[in-house]
Amino acid sequence: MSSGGDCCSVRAIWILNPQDSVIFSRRFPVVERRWRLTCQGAGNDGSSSQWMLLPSDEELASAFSERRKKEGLSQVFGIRSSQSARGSDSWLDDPITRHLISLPINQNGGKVFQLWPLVLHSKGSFHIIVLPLIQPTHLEAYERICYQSDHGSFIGHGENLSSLLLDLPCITGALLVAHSIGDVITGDFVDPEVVSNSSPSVGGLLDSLTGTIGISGLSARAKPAATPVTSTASASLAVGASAFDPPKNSLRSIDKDALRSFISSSMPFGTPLDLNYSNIATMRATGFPPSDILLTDLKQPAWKPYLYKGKQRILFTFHEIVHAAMYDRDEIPDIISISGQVNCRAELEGLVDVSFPLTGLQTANAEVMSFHPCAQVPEQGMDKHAVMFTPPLGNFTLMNYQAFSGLGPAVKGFYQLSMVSENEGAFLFKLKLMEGYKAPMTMEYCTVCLPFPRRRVVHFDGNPSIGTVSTTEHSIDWKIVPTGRGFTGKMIEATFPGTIRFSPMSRQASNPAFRPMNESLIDDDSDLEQEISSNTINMEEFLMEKMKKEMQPADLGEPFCWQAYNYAKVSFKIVGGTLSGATMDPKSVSIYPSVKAPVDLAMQAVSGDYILWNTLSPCPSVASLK
Amino acid sequence: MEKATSLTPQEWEALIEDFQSGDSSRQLHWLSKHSAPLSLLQIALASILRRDFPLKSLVVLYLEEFGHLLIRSPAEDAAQALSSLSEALDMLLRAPADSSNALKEQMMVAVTSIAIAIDGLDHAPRQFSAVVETLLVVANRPNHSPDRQTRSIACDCLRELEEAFPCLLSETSSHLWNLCQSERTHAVQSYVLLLTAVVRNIVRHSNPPTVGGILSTSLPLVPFNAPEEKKSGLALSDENLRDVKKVMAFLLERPMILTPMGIAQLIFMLIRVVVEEEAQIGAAAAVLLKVQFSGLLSSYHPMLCHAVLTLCSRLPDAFSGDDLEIARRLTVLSKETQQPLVFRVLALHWLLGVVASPTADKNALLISMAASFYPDLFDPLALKAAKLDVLAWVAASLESGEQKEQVPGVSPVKLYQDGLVCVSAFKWLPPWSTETLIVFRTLHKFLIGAVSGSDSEESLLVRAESTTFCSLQGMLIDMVLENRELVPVAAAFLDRLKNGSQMEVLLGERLLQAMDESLLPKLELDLTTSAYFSILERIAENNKIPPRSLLEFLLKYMAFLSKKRGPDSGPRLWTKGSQVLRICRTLMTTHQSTRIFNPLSRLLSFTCQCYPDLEVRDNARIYLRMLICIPGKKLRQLLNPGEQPPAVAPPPQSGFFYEKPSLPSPSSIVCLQRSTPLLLNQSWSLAIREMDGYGSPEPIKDPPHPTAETRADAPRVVDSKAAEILKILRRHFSCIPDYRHMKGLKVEIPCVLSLNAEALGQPALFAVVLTFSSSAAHGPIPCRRVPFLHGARRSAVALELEPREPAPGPVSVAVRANAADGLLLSGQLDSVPVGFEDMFQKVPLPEEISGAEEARLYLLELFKALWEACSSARPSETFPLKGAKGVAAVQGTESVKLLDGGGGGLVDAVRRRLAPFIVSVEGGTLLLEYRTAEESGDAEIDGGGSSVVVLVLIFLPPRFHLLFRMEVSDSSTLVRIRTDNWQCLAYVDEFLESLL
Repeated sequence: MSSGGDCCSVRAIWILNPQDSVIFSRRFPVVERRWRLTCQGAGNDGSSSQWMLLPSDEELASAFSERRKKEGLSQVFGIRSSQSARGSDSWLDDPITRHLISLPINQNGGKVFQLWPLVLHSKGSFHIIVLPLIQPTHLEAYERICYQSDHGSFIGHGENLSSLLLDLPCITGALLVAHSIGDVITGDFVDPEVVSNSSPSVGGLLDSLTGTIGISGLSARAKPAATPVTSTASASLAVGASAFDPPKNSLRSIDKDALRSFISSSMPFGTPLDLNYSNIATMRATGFPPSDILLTDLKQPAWKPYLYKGKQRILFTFHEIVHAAMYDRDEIPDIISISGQVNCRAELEGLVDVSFPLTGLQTANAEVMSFHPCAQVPEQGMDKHAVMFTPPLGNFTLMNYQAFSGLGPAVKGFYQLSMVSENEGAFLFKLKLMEGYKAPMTMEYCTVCLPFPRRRVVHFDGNPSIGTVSTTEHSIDWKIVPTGRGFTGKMIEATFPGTIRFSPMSRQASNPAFRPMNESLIDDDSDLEQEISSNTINMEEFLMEKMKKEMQPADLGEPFCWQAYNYAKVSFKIVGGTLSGATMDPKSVSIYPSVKAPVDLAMQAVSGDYILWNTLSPCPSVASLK
Repeated sequence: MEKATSLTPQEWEALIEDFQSGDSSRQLHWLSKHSAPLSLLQIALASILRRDFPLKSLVVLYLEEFGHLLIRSPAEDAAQALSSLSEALDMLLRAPADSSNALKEQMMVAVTSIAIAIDGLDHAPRQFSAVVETLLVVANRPNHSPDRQTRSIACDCLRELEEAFPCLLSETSSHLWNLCQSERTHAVQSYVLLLTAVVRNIVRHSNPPTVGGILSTSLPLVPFNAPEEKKSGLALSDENLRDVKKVMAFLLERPMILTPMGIAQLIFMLIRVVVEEEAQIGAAAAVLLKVQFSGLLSSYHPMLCHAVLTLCSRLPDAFSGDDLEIARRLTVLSKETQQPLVFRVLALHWLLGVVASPTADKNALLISMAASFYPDLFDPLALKAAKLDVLAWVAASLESGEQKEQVPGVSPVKLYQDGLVCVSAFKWLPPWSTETLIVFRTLHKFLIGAVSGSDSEESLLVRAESTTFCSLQGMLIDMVLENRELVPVAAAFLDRLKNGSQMEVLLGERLLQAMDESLLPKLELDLTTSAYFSILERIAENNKIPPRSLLEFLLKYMAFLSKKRGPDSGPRLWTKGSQVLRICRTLMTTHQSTRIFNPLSRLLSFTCQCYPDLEVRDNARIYLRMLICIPGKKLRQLLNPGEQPPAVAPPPQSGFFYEKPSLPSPSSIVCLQRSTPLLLNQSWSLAIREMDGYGSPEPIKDPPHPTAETRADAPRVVDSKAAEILKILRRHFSCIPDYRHMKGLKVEIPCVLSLNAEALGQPALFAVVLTFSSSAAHGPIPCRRVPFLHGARRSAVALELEPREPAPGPVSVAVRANAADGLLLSGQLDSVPVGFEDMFQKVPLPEEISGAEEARLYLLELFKALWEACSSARPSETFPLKGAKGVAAVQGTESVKLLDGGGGGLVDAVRRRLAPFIVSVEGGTLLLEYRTAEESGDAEIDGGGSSVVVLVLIFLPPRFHLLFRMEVSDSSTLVRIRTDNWQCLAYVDEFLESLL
C-alpha cells in the first residue's frame, strides 16, 4: 500500500512565461516536511539519495528551457523520435508526457536529480507546473520505467506507466489544480452558458448574489459574458486556420494577488479542498454577513456556501455542439456527432432537490453520460432518464452527453475544388440547409469558410445563389444566412460556383522549430523530386508534393494536420431544439420541498468542426468496427 | 536581544522576492543581515500587527511559505518563536470581526505551517500546545455564522497538525464529534475531514483517548495539553470499534455535501480505516463505501472517478464483478469531448492500469469492447495514439492465446489496419508528420504485442513466425515499397529496435531478414531506388544476414546506372555510385572477408572497370585492393569510421592485430624451403664449446700494443719470398671486415615460401612475418616480411646469415600471419637446413683489382700464399683486418683425402659445385672465368689429360679459408687440403665424398 493518506498534496507550483522564466512560484513547507520524512524513512534501505530539496526558481526555469530545447516544442512532443534520449520524457513514447513531465534539475552543488511528476499545463502563453507529493517508491518506479528499453511490455508484465498513473491520484489532483490556476491567471473562467428565453443573458454566481445581498459594483473578477461554451475542437480549428497568430493573453501579466488568494483558499497547506473559483472569490469578496441565516435541519453543502434568496425560477439549457465530416463519397460514410450538455441555473431558495425526466436520448444513441457531482445517477439504458440533483448556486453543467444526430445534417451537400493549374482552381458548392427541420427550430446564422492557410488568395470570381461573399488573404467567407436574418420552418438550397486564383507559391524558409527532429528524414535528392514530378499526373498530388516541404507536423492536440487538406468549414447556430433529439418537459420538473418556480427551457446547437471535405482531394477518415 | 528594526515596504518586497526565488544564497543574504536568532521573525510579526502596514497579507503569506527558515535552529529557538507567533495570532484573532477575517485565516495557516515545519511538538511542546489550543477555541464555536470560514480554516489547521503529528488530537475526538454533528454551515466539510483524520489515526495507531471512549469523554476541550508519549499500539476495544463504526456511519450518511476534492480526501482516509481494521469492520464497511461512492464514477469530475478507482483497487473484494462496468465507464470518459484532453488520455491509462493489475484476469474485458477504442475522426492525435495503444493491448491479449472465445471479426491484424485508418494521412504527408510518428509507434506496439509473453529467445522466434507478426511485417514492407519517403522513418524504426531490449533486437533482426528476403526482390531498378539505401545500409550492418542477395542487387543496380548514362548524369552517377560504395564499405566492416569476397570483388571489379564516374571507379579500385590485400580484421578496423582514420593508424603492435587464437599446425599450411637443395644434407653440426681456451678457433684479437717485448721481436729477418707472402696476406686480410665493428660478410640462402591454401581453407594469408633463430653461430638473422601470400604463387625469401663460424646447422623458422577471416596463424615451420657448402664464399677482392685476368692472378698468388701460410700450425704473424681494429692470425692445418673416382666425372662435379672457387687448373685445357660480379662463375675443365691439378680457394666467413689442391687422375683423385679453420675439416671429407 504505497499511497499516503492524502489524495493530493502539492509540493510546489511554478508559473513560467513564454521566455521560460518563473513569474510566480509557491512552495508548501508542510508538504515538503512530509516528503522529507518519507524520504528519510525510505532512506533506511539505502535510497536516501532520493531526498532532494525543491529546486530554486532559476534551476527549474533553466531545466525547463533546456528540456524545451531538447524535446522541441512541448506541444508537439510526447512521441519518441530518433532524437529522444534514454530516460527523457519522449523516450517513454506516451502522449501523456506532454502533460506530465520530468525535469533533470542541476543543483548548485553540481548534483543532478530527476524531478517527477511535474504536471505541465499551458494556458495562454503561460506554463503552469505543479509538483504533487508522491512516495519515493513511485519515483523509483518511474525511473525504472523511463530507462527500460521496451516499455512495450505493457501487457501486464512488470511495471508500466498506466499502473503507476492509476496508483497516483495526486497526479490527477495536480492536473486539476493546474487547470484551475490556468483559468485564474488568464481570467477566462467561463461559466456554462445558460440561456433564458425571457432575458438575453444570465450571469454567474456573483450576479445572483449581488442581487440578493444587495452589494453592487463588486468586481472580484471579470464578469463572464454570455459567450457560447467554447469547444476545444473549434478552438483548434482556429489554430489550424491561423497558425501564425500569437495566442491571446500572451502579453497580459498575471494578477498575482488574485492568484495568491485563490491558492491560499483553495488549497491551504498545499492540499486542494475546493477548486471552485466562483465560490472562493465570492467568499473572499463578501464574507458572511450576520444576516445570513442557517438552515435549521440540514447541513449546507460545502459547495454551496450561500443560499439563494429572491424570485425563484429554474433554467435549463440544452447546448449541443455538432461535429460533422461530410465526404460525399460512396466509400466513406458521413460522420455527424454531437456533444451536448445540459446546463442549469436554479434560482431556488433553501436547499432543494430537483428532478426531471430526460427524453429522446435513446433514439439519439446517446453513448456517454457524465453528471455533475450533485446529481444522483439514474439507471442507464432507459429512454427516460430521471435525473435528480441538488443544484448548486449559479450556472453549472448538470450533465454531458455524446450522441448521434437524431435529425439529418443541418447543412448537407458537397464542396468540390479542382485545381486547373498550380495557382488556379474552380470550385462548386451545393448545399441544403435545415432539410427536414421543423419550426420552432431556427437557424440563426450560417457561414461557410474556405481556409487556405498556406496560399494567398489574389483573385476570386463567382456568385452564390444566396448570401454574400468576402475574401481575406487566406480565406473566402460565404455568409449564407447572416446574423439577424435567421429562418425557420423551411429548407434552403444554396449553390456557389466560382474560380479562385492564388499567388504563386514561393519556397518559404521553413519553420526551423519543427526541423531538428526531422533533419535526418529529409532527403535532398533532386532525382527523387524529378522522378516524382514527372510521374504525377494529378494536379492535386503535384501541389501536395510541392507543399509538403513546408508542412509542419500537427500538434498532438489536433485531430490531424489541418493544413494538409482542402475543406470548407461551416459555422451555424440553431435554436429552438436539439439536433440529438434529447429534451425534457418543463412541466415535469419536480422540486422538493415543493416550491412554485417557473421552469425555463432553452435549446440550441452550434457547429463545432463541421467540415465539408473537398470531394476531389484526399481527406482524413476513420474506420469503424461493424 | 537586539532591538528589531523594522523594514520598509520596499525592503519587504525585495526580501520576499529573494525568498520566493528558492535560491538559498539570496535567502541567506537576508538571514545574515539580521543575524540575531528570530530577528526577522520578530520584525515580520511586528509589521503584521502594525495598524498602518500596507503589506500585511503579503508578509503573512511570506511567513506561511518561509517562516520556518527564519528559525534557524529549531531546537533552541522553537519555544520562543512559537510563543511569539501564538501571541501575535491571539492579538489578530481578538481584533473585531469586521474586515480582516482573511488576515486572521491566513495567520492561522501561517502559524500552523511554521509550527509543523519546525517540528514544534518535539522542540517546544508547551508553546505548541498553546497554538493548538488557540485553534481549538476558534473551531469550538459551532454554527457561529459570520466567522464560519474562519472556523473552517481553524479546522483545516488542526487537521494539518493531526496529519503531521498523528494522534495529537485523539483526546479531543468526542468534542470534534459533537462539533461535527451540530455544524450546519458550509464549514461542515472541514469539521468532517478533521474528525475523519483524528479517527483514522486512532485506528491506525490504536491510540484511543485515555479517558472515556472515542465519542465520549469527560475531559474539557481546553486547556489543551499535547499528549506526552504515544502509547504502544494495543488493539482497540470493542467499545472503541463500535464508536468507529458509528463515526463511519455518520460520515457516510451524506458525504455528497463535501466538495469533490473533499470527498476524495474523505474516501482516501476511510480506505485507511477500513483496510487497517479489516477484520473488525472491514467487509461491511467496504460494502458501505461501495454503495455510497461507486455512483461517483458517473461524475465528470476526474478526481471523483479516480477516487472510486482507488476504492476498487484497495477493496477488490467489495468491487469484484464490477470490472466491466468500470472499464465501460472509463472508455466512455475518454470519449467525453467536454473534458480537457489530458483527462481523456488519462482515462485510457487508468483503464490499462485496471486491466493490467494482477488481481484479476481481465484480458477478456477489453476484447469485447474493441470497437469502442477505434479512434474518432476529431479525436486529437494524442488521444488517437492512446486509443491505438489500447487496440494494441487488445491485439496482444488476442494473441496471447489465453483468450478462448474469439470475437468474430476481431483479429490483431484487422485491429491494426482499422486503427491506422485514422492516421492514414501518413501516406501523403511528409515523413516528419505526426501521423507518421504515430503509425510507426503503433506498429512498434503491435509488433511487441505480437511476440510478448515469450520470455525466451526460442519462444520469441516461434512467435515471430506467427501469422500476426508475419502480416505486420509484410505490411511494413509493403508500406515502404509503396511509399519510398517512409524509408528513413522505417530505418529509424529499425534503429529503435536495434538499440532496444533483447526482444526488440531480435525482432529487428527478423525484420531485416524479411526485408532482405522480400523487399530486395521487389525493388524496381530506377533512379529513385537509392531512396532505399538507408534500409540496405542496415541490412549490410547486420552480420547475421547473408550479404549475397544484397550484393547481387547492388551489382544489378550499378549495371543499371552504367547504362543510364546521359548528358547530365554526371553528378547523379557520382552520388549513387558513392552511395553504393558506402554500402560496400559497411559490408566490409561487418562481414568476414571470405563471406563477401566473391560477390563483393565482382561488384567492385565491375565498378572499377565499367562504371562511368571516374571517382567512383577509383574508390572501387581502392576498396577492391583493400579487400584483396588487407587481412579481414585489420580491414574492418581501418574502415571503421571515426575510430582510426587509416592515415594516422598507429603502427601495429603485437597483440593488437594478433589477438585471435591461431590456426593449428602452421607447418602444414606454410612451407619455407631452400630453392637449391643441399649437396650434403648435414644432419649434424659440430659444436665445440670453449673449453680451457682450447678448441675454438683463434679469435680475432685486438692488435698487440707495441710493448718493449714485441719491439724486441720486431726486427725479424724474413726472406724475400716470405716477405712477398706476408705482403699478399696483409693485403688480403685488410679486405676482410671485422664483424665486431662492422657488418660481417653475409651468406645468403635463397628460399621459397609457399602456402597450402587447401589446408588453410582460405585463398591467401596476409602480413606473413618470418623470424629465424639458430643454435649454430650464424650471427643475427634478419626477419622477413611477406605482405600477401597467395596459394597459387610462391614467394622468394632469402635467408641471410652472418656467420661467426663457418659451421652448418639448421635454422629454426617461426611464422605469424593473418588469415582472411581474421584468424591468426602463428608458430614454427620446418627448419631450414644450412649446409657446410652454404659457407663457401668467394674471396673478397681488394678494390683496386679489376678485370678477370688481374683477379685470376691475384687469386692464384693468394692461393699460393695461403697454402704456404697454412702449412704451419704456429701463427708467426698477425694480419690487421679491415678497419684496422682487430688482427687475425693464420693457424694452419692440412689434410689429405683420396677420392675413389676421377676423370671426367669428378671434373664435372667440381665444375658444377666448385666452379666459382677454382683458381687454377694445371695440366688440362681450362677455360676459367672468375668473375668479381655477383653471378656465379663458370669454369670449363677439359679433363682430357691424364693428370689434372685443380686449385680451389674457398673463403669461409667470417675470415677463414679452405684450399684444395686436387690431383685428378682417371681412376682416383687425391685432394690435398689446407685450411686455417681446422674445425671445418670435419665436414670436408663428407663434402668431397658427396661430390662423386
